[in-house]
Amino acid sequence: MAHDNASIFEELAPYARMTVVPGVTIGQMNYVNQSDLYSVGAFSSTAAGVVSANTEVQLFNAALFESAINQGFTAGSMTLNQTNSRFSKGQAPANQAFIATHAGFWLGKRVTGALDNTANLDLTVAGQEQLLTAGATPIAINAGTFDGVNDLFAVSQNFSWDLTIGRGITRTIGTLSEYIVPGSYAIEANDPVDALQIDGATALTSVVPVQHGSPCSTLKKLEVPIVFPPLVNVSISAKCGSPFQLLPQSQANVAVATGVTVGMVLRGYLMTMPVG
Amino acid sequence: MAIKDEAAFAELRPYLKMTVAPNGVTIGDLNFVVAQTQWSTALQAITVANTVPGDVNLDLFQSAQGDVGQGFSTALTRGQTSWLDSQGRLPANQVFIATSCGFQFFVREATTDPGDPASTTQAILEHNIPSEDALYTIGRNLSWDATIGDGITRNYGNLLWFGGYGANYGVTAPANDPEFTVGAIAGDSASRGRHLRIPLVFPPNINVRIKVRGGNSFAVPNTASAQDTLPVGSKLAIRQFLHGYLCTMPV
Repeated sequence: MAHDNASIFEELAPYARMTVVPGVTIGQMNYVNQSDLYSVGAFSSTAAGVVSANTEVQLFNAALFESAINQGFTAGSMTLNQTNSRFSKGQAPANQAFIATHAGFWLGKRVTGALDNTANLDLTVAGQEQLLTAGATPIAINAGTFDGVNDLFAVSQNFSWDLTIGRGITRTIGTLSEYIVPGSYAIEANDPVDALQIDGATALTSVVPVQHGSPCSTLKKLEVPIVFPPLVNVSISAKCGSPFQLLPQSQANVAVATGVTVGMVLRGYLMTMPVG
Repeated sequence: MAIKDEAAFAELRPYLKMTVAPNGVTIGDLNFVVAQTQWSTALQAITVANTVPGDVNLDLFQSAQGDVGQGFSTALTRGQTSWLDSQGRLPANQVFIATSCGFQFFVREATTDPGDPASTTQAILEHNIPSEDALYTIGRNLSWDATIGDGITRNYGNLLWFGGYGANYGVTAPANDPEFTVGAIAGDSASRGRHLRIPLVFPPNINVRIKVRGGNSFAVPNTASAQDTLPVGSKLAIRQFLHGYLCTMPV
């Protein structure tokens, strides 16, 4: 079913004449599935919580079952927990294309109980994905303390994402903060005495988990779809500029490097090339 | 592909006949390159705790990546701006058409120089404004204006009315302690900026000057805790997002 003949693909109608490969437009492609394509990468902060200058996370580079090292993990293979993409190096097979109409990023951290990120970001070690969360007794900065909300703020404001299709120009599309996802949230610390307060004076036992977007958020629509054409590498990465600081996170107030995970979801349509 | 020939650019359709260059080139004649967001950050030094000084006058989109300016003491990186051309001036063959705008304000502080984005010995802690009162006060008292070339300077209104590209979302304890807060952002977490009824165009070879301005000095509500909202030595950071279309001139 070529989708220019079907009104259910109204969302793609404005782009029907957009060329996917020479001689084939979006309107001529055959619909296969509507799906979310997701990919998770990771980076480490130092024990002092510093995210180094020009830290870069590759996304949609490693396909399912491929080595996760290319996406910032220290060992292991990509599983369905990290990606559902089967496009190795972001390259769709000869007869397929994926047309993404919406995008979003989520942020978290991976912990294994270890104090270093060699283990925290090792996918062969059982780990737990968590929201960015301040420790119970954050380290003071300028005699004050801040919390996980600010870590999320700092990462999402400092990281922006790049898109390169084939050997084309690399384009910086925007900061991660614009591309939110429907997130989870938590209500904790009902006793303000125990709650994480900004002065930190009585921050004893509670944490404040946060997510990149409210539970009801919708993904941001892309003005122009991102197309994964057949046999063309699509490279997406998130990158920061100058260094900045997170709050080292440890329940025991020990300086511990944080293994931050960056996930991207692309919502769109999987298509096959027209036959004949 | 010219903007006027593509259905994909429905958002720009009302402005197809808008002129972007003195030689009569219109938005409809331009060739699409990429839909993207441009951002730029400026810093206001805080010398009196919890007080924003009078006559705030901050430039945005004047310093490009690699330049020093806008309150920063070393070269800007992509963490501070996406802008690649100094003085708000695009090359001779490029046009940026901004269709929505958002502001976000936050605090940068460090024990050394919060205006130095390259500091590695003491990295910069960036955090959002720690109370809604403070966010409201800052956003309400600052406004922004734009001047294209030698044209009229137009004030667009308070920053508060341009909810930024929000990100974080956390629900915390019902606050029976007025000090309890985890920070506030301009706009909802799902804010996508405010649509500009008439696009803000950065024409080729013409300086576009965007400024954030304030009038009298004003105090920012504190949380009466040990931590000031705006500590002495910190910087109030103002970031503008312009979402739109980068285009090239017709050949």
